Amino acid sequence: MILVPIAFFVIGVAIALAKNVHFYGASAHYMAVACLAGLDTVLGGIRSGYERKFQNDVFITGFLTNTIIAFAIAKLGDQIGIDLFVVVALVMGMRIFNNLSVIRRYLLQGYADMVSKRKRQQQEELAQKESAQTSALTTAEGVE
Amino acid sequence: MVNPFVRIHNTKWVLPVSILSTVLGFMMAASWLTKENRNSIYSLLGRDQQGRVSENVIDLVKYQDLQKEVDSLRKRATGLEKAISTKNIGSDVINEQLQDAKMFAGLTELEGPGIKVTLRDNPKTSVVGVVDDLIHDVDILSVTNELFASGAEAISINGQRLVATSSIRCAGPTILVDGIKVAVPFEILAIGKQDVLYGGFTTAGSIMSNIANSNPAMIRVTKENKLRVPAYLGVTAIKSAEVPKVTTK
Repeated sequence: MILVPIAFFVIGVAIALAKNVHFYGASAHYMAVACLAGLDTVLGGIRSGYERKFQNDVFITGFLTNTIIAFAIAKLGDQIGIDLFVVVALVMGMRIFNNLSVIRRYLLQGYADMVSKRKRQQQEELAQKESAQTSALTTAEGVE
Repeated sequence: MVNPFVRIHNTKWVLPVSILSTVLGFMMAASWLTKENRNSIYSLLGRDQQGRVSENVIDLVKYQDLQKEVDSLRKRATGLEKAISTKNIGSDVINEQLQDAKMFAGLTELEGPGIKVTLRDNPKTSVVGVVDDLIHDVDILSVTNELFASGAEAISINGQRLVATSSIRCAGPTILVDGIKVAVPFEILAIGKQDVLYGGFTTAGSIMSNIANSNPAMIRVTKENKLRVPAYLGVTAIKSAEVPKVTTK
């Protein structure tokens, strides 16, 4: 499930590389911060998907506003002479780690569930086989 | 306690998240710093970051360019040796012209009479960071400009030869001459007619009196009877320009 967005991410990178798009100067500087915000929102979307709280409109508006605000704050910081992009980097970095840890927990939980389910199935199969054998034995005894 | 692929049956999030992660991947790849756009954000970086960039990146790029150039020069040298061995006629005339061109271009070491200009930050500075107490790239630029205007034939700054494509600029606390760091005290050697150079440089209202205004100790000019200016060691390969085949009049 999580592999689909990753695959699309790679596709996006490939498109940018193929078209040889590059930001220059100030916009590259601000875009880097906007990328952090975008990464946070995408991870947040995956997380809310696992939590079954995903809402389309919230996600898309969140992506747009987060990237634009991150871009604007970085630009504002340069205009007024304070390194405000550090603030964005700090907050978004924290949120990225937070989201990643939650996603990791869900993935681990899923894996553990899968393993335990397989084990239970095997036990059930074993139990069925045993009961079949015993019933076969009892019928055999009955014939004798 | 079920398979995650069964438990998360609600997969409506996958499509929008995928689409926007495509956008994100595009954004990231586009703002990725490459050799081409790295220098364009140079002026936006803080002073300490500028230092790191100039140390780690610009010098590395220069180093790689130099390696390439050494390679091509070696090949060219072998080609020339072959050409000389095959036909000898007129090779000394060509060689003479070549040496003249190299001398003018700054590719050879030169020696001769001239003047030595020493620039240093004001030693008696009362407040740290007063603009007039420091030697800036602009000061060096105007000094060398003044020297060229007075007929200097070869100029070097702390052992860096100035050529036609030379640049002098500021990178945080240091000054880059052709992308290579130089630091105080700046010793500018100029070969030319001593008296003309000295006179042009020390007249009232010249750049020298501007700098000496703060403290006369910041600039010192001495006549030297024998100066040695090193050869230009930077990149000489021309990548974009070429000599037109049809000469226009």
